[in-house]
Amino acid sequence: MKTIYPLIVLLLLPCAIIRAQPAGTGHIQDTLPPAIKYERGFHQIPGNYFHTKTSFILDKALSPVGESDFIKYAMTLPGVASGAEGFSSMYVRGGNMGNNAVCLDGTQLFGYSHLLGLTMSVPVNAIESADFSVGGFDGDKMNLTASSLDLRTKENDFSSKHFNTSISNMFVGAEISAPIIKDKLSIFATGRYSILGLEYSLVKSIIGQASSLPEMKPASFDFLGKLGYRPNNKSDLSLTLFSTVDRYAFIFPPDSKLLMATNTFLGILKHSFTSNRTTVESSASFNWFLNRQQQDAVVLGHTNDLKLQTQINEITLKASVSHYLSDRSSLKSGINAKFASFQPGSAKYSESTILIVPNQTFTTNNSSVILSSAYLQYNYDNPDRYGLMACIRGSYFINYPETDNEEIFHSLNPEFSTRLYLNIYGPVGIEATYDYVSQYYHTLEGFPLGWSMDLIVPSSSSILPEKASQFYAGLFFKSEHHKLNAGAFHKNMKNLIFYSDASAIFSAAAAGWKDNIEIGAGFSKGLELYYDCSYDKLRVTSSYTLSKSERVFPNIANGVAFPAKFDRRHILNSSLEYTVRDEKDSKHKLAVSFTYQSGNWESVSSGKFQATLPDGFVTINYFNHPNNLRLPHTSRLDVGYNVTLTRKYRHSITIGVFNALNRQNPFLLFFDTGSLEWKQLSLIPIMPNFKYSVSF
Amino acid sequence: MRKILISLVAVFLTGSCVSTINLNPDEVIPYVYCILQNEDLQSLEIHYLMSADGREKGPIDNASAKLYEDGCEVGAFKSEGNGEYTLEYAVIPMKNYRLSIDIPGFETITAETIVPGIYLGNGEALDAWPFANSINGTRLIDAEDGSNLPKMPRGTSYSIYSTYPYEGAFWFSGMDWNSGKREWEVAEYIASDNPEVDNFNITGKLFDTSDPKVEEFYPTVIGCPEHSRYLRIPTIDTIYANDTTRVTMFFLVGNFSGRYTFESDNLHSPRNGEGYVRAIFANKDYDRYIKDALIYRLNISASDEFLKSFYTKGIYCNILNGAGIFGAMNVVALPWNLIV
Repeated sequence: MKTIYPLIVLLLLPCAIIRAQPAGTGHIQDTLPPAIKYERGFHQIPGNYFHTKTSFILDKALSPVGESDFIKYAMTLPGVASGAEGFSSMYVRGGNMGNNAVCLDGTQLFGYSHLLGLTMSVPVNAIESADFSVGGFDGDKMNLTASSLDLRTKENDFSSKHFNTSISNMFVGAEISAPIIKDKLSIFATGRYSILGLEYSLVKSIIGQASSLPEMKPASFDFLGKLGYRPNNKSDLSLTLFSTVDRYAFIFPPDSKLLMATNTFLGILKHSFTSNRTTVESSASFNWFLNRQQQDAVVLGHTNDLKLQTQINEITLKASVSHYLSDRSSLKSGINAKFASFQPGSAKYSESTILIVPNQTFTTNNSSVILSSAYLQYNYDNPDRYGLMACIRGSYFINYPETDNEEIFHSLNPEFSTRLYLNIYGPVGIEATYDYVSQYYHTLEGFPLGWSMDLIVPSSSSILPEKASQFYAGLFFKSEHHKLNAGAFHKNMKNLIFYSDASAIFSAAAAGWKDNIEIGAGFSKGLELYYDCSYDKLRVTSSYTLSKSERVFPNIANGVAFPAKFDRRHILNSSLEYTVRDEKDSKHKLAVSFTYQSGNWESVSSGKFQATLPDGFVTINYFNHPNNLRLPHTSRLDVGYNVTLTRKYRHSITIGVFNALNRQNPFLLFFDTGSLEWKQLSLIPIMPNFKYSVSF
Repeated sequence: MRKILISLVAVFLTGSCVSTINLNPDEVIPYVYCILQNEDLQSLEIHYLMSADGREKGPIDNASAKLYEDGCEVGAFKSEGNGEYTLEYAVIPMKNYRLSIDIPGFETITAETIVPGIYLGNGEALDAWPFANSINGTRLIDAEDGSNLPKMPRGTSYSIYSTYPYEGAFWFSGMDWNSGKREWEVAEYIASDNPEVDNFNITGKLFDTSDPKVEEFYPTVIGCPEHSRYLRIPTIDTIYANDTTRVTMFFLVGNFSGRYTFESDNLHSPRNGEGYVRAIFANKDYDRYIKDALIYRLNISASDEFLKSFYTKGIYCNILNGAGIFGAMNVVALPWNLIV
């Protein structure tokens, strides 16, 4: 471990991050009547935490690698607890990480992180806007029980060209946007490639033989391209292609190896037609996701090559019609059908070079599923008095397992969502949401990193659809410079999954994931507070959550309730943005953010015992219940300073420090059998970052 | 594993840190192990949990342990020293048993379990048919596939009847005679053509043999997955829940090396030098305990302590105010043969 420390210093040096800026405004087709528009920012409608343009988050000091990131921003909002510090795992109102749906243009992304969860795999400069909601879900938000983060790609620019290039300590990137046929056909493309491998080789060569670090061959890149066609002013047709690859190969002396890889490919064909009061949208998408591990494994004394992989192929067809009944009310209906094949946790071995099971896996959990839904949604919005959204959705799910001893599984579920607000007196009002939702794809969570290596499995006769009902009610206050939201929520969750063996993700045991699943319930309740103070040069935001989240599993701890792993009692996030200088050709901004969170829970064994088996004994750790020890609290201060210079080209430079107080926040505990001591692993010390971009 | 994770962390985050913390989560918790059997003598073990670093904390010999049958006390366990207790009592199938243990300084420890029935023979739960090709074993196969099979099973077949009403699982093992130690040992692997076998402990290999006799007697098992030491077949589960007349017939083969004999249709206790198939019916409590412990042994125990820290469930325990297991099982020795 000591050999890691020199690496710490050395790797800090090339911290050059770039944040690509949005290239032009493009044509944004906005069909909402004026009265129905809501502001960009936080919580303008109940349950909707933000509907924001990308530029809103670009200057925030949130990420350890300097990249702007919508998930990191969402983690600063009330009701959201973060998992491992600096990573992409978030837990909303007591739910699991897999209960959140991250979508790109309405299609769910199964793997949405780069660098094992450190940053999102969708480049932020490809995003026009994002919606993050934790309640009062719209009709097209389906297959989730906690939150929806819907990323909208940029609209094509049919009139002008833009180019942007960037370099950082993690990625080099480029972006181009250009019309092919003016006002008719346009293309937008952006891509990033990680230079992590070069940095790692450099560090290895400097450290030389003194290092015990393994050989590593990383590769990480992404690409997003969008072709837009506008036959007339009322129609838009677009084809979006998104691909991301993360691949890490480790070689340990003398010849041990580990390969981890995730791949995503997404293709979306989308059409929209708009008349005066009606918008018709339809889309077809293909979604391919694969994560794979390959490693040496010893089986019955033989060293074998183990391959474990999870694959999802999904085709989604969607159509919706929105019609504005008046300037204040609208009706929307839609249908959605997903056809997917799952191959979660398939495994096969080969011994030496001889494949024992040629061309087939010895453990397969394949199944084909159909998830279809239809919804009807009514909106009424009178910002001066009251607003209402009511949505009813029916979902039908079928799972055709390919294994002989599993039955075909059907499930028909009604779902409801509603949200309302009422101005009581002047700037003060009340707001409320209610949701009853279901989820059919389940993530078996390993490490709380938000990475893409977790298994994703469909509902079946043994894993019933997860369901959640939640209620939120609160007050809001809004004036020219101040906004305040304060409310309480209560949430019940059914058929929650507890994946009891996160360690299995690094072994053949992952193929036997069905044996490590427990089904139970969850409960969460809490108070949420958000304050936003905004002036010309200064903006201060603060959010606080007081909550309690529990789990009850009949087969764990005799059915006694125990805390959810990320049941953080107190969560406080504050940020300050100050515009130091704002001139025609230069702009300077200072951003500071601070977070305090109660520690998450760890499972610490109370002792050991020798379990008696018919053929001998095995020494096993005993837990009175999972998550029986709360770790110390987490606190962190991040600082960033951004300079934008507009000359012939537009330059942007940001210098940031993540965890400026260098606090060693706890990630996990483990018992070191060598020293016979308990050890705490902390992930991120003080970490400067730097980013530069130029666009023209 | 620790090296991998720390390397990953170091590469991406440039500085993870491990620090020692002062934490002593050790608690003094009694551990109880009591599996009721189809015998006249029941045994019980009570001792303290070991500490996290593996230090023994010793047996408990001053406990007062009683057994209740459907709410009525049937006797008190007698201390034999070293944490071991015995009670002369033959448990009755289908009865509910409660164990109550008083240890000075602790809350009363309790647990409940149901004893399964006697199951061998008469089509109650499990039958073993010698020389399957004579009458019984090939009957189903002939009916399904005709009489011109190129290779016909001729070994011992086993049948599980869905009329067996107990929730739990059969655990089959090949018992190999070790002439050096002069005792039976569980064979390293076992395979079956039963599609309802739980695959939690497959080894990754498929059964194959160079022994022409095995190939001749058990052709249907060739190519089936090998299981590590045990074959688990659950009874009341999704398999039998909707079919009360179902009969599952199957064959077993493993790396059995002893001379497995069977005398005509008569069962006899295994003799020294003979190998046999051991069938344990574990009630639902004991079944979960065995399976969890085996999963732990197969997947976790060989890994380092850092990896173990991610294994947070532990194994199934049904002891209130303590740790351990109170379950029930029946054990029988079954024939297995290669002799025409």
